[in-house]
Amino acid sequence: MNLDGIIFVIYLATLLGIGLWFSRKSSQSTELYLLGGRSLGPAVTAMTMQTTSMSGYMFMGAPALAFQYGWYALWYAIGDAGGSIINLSVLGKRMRRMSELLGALSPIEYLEKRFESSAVRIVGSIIAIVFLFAYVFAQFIAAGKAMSTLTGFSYEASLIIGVSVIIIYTVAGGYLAVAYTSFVQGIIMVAGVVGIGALAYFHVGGLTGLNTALEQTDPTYLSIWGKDLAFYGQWGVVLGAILIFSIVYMGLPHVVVRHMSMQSTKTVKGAILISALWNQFFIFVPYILGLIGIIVLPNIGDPEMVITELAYTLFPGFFAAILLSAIMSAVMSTADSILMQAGTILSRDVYQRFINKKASMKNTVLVSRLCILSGGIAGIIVAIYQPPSIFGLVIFAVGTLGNCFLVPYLASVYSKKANHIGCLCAMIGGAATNILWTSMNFEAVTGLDAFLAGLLVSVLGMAVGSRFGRKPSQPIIDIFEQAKSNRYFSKKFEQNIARNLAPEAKNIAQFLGDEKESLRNSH
Amino acid sequence: MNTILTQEPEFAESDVFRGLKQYDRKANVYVRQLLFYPYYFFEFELSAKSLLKLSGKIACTIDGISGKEAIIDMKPAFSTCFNETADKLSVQVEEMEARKIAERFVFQTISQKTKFISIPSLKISDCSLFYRPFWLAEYILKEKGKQQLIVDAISGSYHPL
Repeated sequence: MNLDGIIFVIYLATLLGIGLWFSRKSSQSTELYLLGGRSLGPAVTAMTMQTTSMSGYMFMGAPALAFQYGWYALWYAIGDAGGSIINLSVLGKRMRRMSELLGALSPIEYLEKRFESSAVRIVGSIIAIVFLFAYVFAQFIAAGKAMSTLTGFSYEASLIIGVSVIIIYTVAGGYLAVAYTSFVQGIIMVAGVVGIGALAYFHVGGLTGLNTALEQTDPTYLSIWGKDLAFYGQWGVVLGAILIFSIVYMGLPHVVVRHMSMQSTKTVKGAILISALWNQFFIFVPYILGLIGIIVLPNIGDPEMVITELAYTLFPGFFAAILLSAIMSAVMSTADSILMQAGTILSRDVYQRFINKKASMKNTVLVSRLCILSGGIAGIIVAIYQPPSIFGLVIFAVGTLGNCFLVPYLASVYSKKANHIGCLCAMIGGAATNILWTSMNFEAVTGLDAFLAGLLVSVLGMAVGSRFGRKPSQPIIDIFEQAKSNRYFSKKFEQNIARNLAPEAKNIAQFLGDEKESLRNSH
Repeated sequence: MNTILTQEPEFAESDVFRGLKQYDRKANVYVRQLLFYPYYFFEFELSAKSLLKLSGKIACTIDGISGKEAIIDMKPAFSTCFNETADKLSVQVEEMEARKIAERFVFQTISQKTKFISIPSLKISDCSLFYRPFWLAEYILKEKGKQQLIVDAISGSYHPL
């Protein structure tokens, strides 16, 4: 093992030490409950959220895309950055209102209640699991590459060692330990990425210097159509690139755990704000680093290693190794939490609800762990024997998810006639089209992006499917009309509405309605 | 005389008025009444084997009407008051049912959020039915009319009806 490998081992040992310290501390408290979140301040909570979103795609996929296609890659970043804004301003308003009226706490629960069908939840959950696994595979490949650079071992051996080491580290944790180690890692990564970004930016003479150098290398790097004008005039592909990340937020399979505070607190709200601001910043940096890579590292063998190679070029080896260690464990910690989510969705939303309603808690956990284990093994096999590009995997995963959920969400608030058959046709048709389009490479023949093709089929599925089966019930139509009416409150007021109080609000409204009714009857 | 457990409101009527008024000075805000919403409180002793020891207390509430679960952050302080108030919503979930929901929920949350090797053991160490105060308020905008909302008297968070 080389020096960088030893640094990695020391790094992990330090993290383990931090974990041990906070685990002991956490079990001593008698007033604060585990998982309650109060013991972590806004800064730690925000950094934990940030490290979860720092994935293999950010460190390897995005820069590789920019390295390959030039400024065209920024279409994806624009969609990513604008996604939350589109969500909040266009679709969000009506959906939020309807969600409040339905008393739904998560997106999938919202769809189930709006379309009055538990089949919607099963299909949504299964497609979500496929998405999560594809995303995890991308993390595994990223981890294998990072580990290989650190240790000097072969990619295959590094992958197995990397996955094993990090799973041991995460299993060792406990909640507080993981939160605080994420905090330490987050600081290293933020400092590292900002450091690399700043050094590389000035190294190439700022944006002007970068563009001049790119033009000298190949003017088409500056084109919005991609290097060699690969996508010239293909608006379908460009539109797909913008849309794909902008809608993914809606389809993400949130496993919501409701929290209730026993005293006034602002921790979570503050954390979300800090995290959202950072996210906007970090969306663009990896792509710019990919562009810088074209100039600084023209002969790099694997474009997915642009950030790593830039770290070794611009920093002393010691710091570069620490940064790479942090990237490596963050990537694996993301993979680990996604696997955990997939396991929970399968065991809770599919197995316990529909297969074995009387399943014991041990059985449920067993199903969840088996799901994680098989996903992990399949991931290692795919990553070793047929490693696709990280970018390709992430786009496939995000695209499938978007094709499954976008049309049902839109139809839920814009079409009164949309029913459960339409929703199922849209979900299955959209996701299946994306999978087929990608695996058969129909994009090359048709010039139509897989995501856009899936979207068209999904719209068709919703329109045709909604003509069959039972119509939406009267209460759902009433809620639909109510959600359509102009919003009452100001924007700022709305932003601060506590969505997790939706069930209480629904029940209190019912209570007041009943009281009014009985008063009327008594008169 | 029967008594019930409640939480003391941390946000008084005037706090709610000020809090809601800050968004739009032109709005007329009326804080109408205090409602008491039923929840079950369950506290568990947790112990699980991992490379590092994972033990401690974890607690949740179960909504006494819809059965919705929520993890809580710290031990709540309860006070007793007479069971006479008309503004108390009636419980619709039986205690045994709530207990089952709580056990399943806490177990799932632990298995999702913490990393452990063995199946964790959970023992109920405390359990009670309590009522959480919510302010019922009216928000009136001249050009738009009236909108009712609830304000959690403990956390200060709000939601329209």
